Amino acid sequence: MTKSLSELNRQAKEDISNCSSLKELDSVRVFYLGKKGKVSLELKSLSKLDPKERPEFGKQINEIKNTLKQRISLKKADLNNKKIKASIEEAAIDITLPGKTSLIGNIHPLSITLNQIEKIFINAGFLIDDGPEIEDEYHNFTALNIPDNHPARAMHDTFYFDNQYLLRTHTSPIQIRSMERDGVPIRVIAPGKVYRRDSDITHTPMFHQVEGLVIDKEINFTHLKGILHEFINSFFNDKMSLRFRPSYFPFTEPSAEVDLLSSDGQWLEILGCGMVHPNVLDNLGIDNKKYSGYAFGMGVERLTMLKYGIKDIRLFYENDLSFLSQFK
Amino acid sequence: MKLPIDWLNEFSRQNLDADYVVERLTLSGLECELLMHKKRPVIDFSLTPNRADCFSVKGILQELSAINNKSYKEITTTACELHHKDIIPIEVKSSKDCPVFITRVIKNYNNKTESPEWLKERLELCGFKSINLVVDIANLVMLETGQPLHTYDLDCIRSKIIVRRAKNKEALNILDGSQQILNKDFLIIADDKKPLGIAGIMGSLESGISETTSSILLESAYFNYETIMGKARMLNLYSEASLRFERGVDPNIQKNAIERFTQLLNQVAGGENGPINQSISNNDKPINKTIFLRKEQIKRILGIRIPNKKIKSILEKLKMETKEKDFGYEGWEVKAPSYRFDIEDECDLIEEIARIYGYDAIPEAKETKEISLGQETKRLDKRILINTLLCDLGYSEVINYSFVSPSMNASSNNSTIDVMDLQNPLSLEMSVMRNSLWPGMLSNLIYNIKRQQKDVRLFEIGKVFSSVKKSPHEITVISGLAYGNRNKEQWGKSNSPIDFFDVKGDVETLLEYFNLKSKISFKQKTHKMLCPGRTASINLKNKVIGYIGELNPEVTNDLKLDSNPVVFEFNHDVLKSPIGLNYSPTKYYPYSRRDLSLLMDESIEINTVIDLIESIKIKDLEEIIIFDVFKGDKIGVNRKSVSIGLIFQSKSRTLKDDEVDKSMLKINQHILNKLNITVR
Repeated sequence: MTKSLSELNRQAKEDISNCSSLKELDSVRVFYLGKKGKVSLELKSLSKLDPKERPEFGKQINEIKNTLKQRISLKKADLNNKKIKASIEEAAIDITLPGKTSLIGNIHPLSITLNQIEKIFINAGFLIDDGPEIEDEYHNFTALNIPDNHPARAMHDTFYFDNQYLLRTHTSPIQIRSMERDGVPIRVIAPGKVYRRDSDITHTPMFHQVEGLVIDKEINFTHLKGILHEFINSFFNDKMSLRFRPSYFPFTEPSAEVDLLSSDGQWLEILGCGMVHPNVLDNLGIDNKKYSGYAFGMGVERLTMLKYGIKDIRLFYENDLSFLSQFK
Repeated sequence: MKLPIDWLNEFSRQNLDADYVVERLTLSGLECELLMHKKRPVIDFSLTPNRADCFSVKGILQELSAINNKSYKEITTTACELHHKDIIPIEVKSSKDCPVFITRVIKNYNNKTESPEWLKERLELCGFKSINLVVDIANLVMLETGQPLHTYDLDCIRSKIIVRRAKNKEALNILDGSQQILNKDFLIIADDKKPLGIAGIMGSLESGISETTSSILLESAYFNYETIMGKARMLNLYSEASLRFERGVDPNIQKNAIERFTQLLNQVAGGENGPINQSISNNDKPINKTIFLRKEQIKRILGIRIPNKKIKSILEKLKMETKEKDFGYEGWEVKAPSYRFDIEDECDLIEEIARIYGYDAIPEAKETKEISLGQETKRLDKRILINTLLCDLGYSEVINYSFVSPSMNASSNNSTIDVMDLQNPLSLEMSVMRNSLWPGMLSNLIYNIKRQQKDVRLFEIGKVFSSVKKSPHEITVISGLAYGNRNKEQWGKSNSPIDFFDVKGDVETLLEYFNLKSKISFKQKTHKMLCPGRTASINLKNKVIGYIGELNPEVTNDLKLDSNPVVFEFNHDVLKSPIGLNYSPTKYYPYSRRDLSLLMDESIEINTVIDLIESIKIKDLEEIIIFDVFKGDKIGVNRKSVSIGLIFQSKSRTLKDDEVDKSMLKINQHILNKLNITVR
């Protein structure tokens, strides 16, 4: 090997081992092995040599080139490892600092209840229906077997507009509209807002009800009892004790109130129900010899209060974020 | 109605257990609870309107004997001794309204006598105030028998008693001190000169019993309940008498009640009794019709077979006349007693059988019919999707009353739409139907700021109301409000006050979920509630479906808020769960991006530029991103710099650089030609 070649080799080795960064290493690579690098230039100078010397000299240069390539790649791996180690050493952060978050909102507890009620009844094959909140006398009262002047109208303290319009006092008019539109058989629940002229710790002038209606052949009181008990068990996710007792609604006969046995041994009224009154079916032109059915109506606020232990119904309409945020 | 247990015990052969009685009555349909008043057990009844027959001690005893299988002592009265022959003649003009009208004149009782202690106490336990001896006895007899009595000061009645319909606008001053203007729907009691009272509701002030009264005319009547029905509600003048008359009083107890009253008055304060004078029209008395009760129908409605013997015994206990009848099917011919106005049809009898049999004795069952699964869930799915999305974006759901104060309801942008006014609101603050959800949410905002909440984001889904051509019109809207900072205060995340574009982005995200983003446009508009220049209409195709904007600073100032909340509201029905979605296969080819910085007049809406670029329909221009908007002295007054990135991507091949360059050239020329825009 010529003196100049071995010097080049030595110098290159030294330069490679002195590199402290990948960037430096790359410039060393270019300096020796690049198109115009020292080793490349030596290769190019081959043509100037005596043809006899060329093979030996060429072999030596290629050997140097290969060794340098190998050294560079070893050095590269070494530097990479050092870099990763260094980044790991610097990696430590205070993982107890809180994560970066965004605001998260809440669904109103009444919506939670409504969603749950709908889910349960959808699973039992019910359709969901809706109707206007501003109703006429016919759908809110007359069609439900509550003629004008009937004392039952006093049970419903009604908000009136001009022209015989009123705010519906219950969701029951939706059952009339459902039957008018779809006829029978029918299997429907109708959730919605209702209004009564009443305001105190247990009453708000607006509240929510869910009305249910099933009319078909061979529907009887045992089915009404069955479905409501199943519903209540499912809603409270527990085996609950219920009590059906006779009551009065002009549009059902027999009528019943349903009481739930609370954990402290009290019977609490939770819904009203009954077998659809034949007069209601007659009003709608449905043959009551062929068809029978049941209807029920429940207060959404009441169920929500029982479920979460809320004592004051007015909380639902204050919309205090510290109240709402408890229902995650 | 309240009744002390002691009173019921007077007719019972053994003392009743109060708790037991309350439970039995409750389970048979008379809702009641046990109260203690002055250490005495009292039952408080909440009677449903159908059970007029239970509005007395006698009625409750009848009910108890039916459910308890026990008999009770009858309330007995005997005819009183007579002292004179004076009567006031009766003229009933409409016997249909008043089938039974019975009177007696009682003279010269000792009007200095106060009600005895036992009477006062009994009435007090029943929740009645002691007024004077005559009125107290009348109330006691009513509570005992169910028959409301009325007493007139004899000196106030001229010549005769007339029962007639009122004349239109006929006025009278009644006992509670108010003046009532009547019409011909009302039945009144009058003499030949003046009205003496509204039948079944209340007597006149003038003819009432005063300290100087010593002779009375006692009235015991049966008024047709259909005549009385609803009248108290019309006048908002409920009385113990009206409660009973409009539900129906037994038409066969009037004479007994008069005798009972006379007996009690004579016992306490003497008095000279006149003969009973009566006007009775038997043909106009209510007739309890014969009802056919089919055995099969009982099974059909209740779902169980109750043995014939049991059915018959229940009907008998309820004093129903029952005849077994063979009219082709098994059943009975039933006639209810005269005090049961609620038994009109077969279904009423079935309820009677069920309630005495016991609802709890009827089993629960599953419907045997096959129930179809997976019914309509779209409505619920949609609500859950919106709820979840808006909660993730930081909005909390609120629910507000549908009525607001008229001043709050000024939010409508359309002055030709009328509001729905309530005729009988609870207060002025709740007197008109809302035509926007914003007023409610603004009150919620203020309420929460007062409770030291800083960053408030709310949404509500509900109906808004208007009157169109005098008919109510309701639509469901979705509405939101954002106030304060975008993020919770925290380290490592820069924070800034929420602005128009934060909320616009939330609305766009919501629309994107319902695949609507490309069909929706925002247009600079004005709205009464919103800040000019920062208000946009939300349009679906070319129809305005709602608004978004910053609250008008004047409103913000009135509400004493620190900064303008950003609000939106649009028609909820446009959000429809997508149906019939189809997958289209995609293949990946790399995209090319070119950025442009455009200098233009500040007044040019960026949408104009985007629309312009889109209008030349450059092939494979997939997306335009606006990544910077800058205003400042460097670029001149009233000018802005907008930087856009254009993404080119073909679905079938890799685009070549010179193709994209050509497209860019076309875009450059087109924009520069049309608008005063320079490319930086």
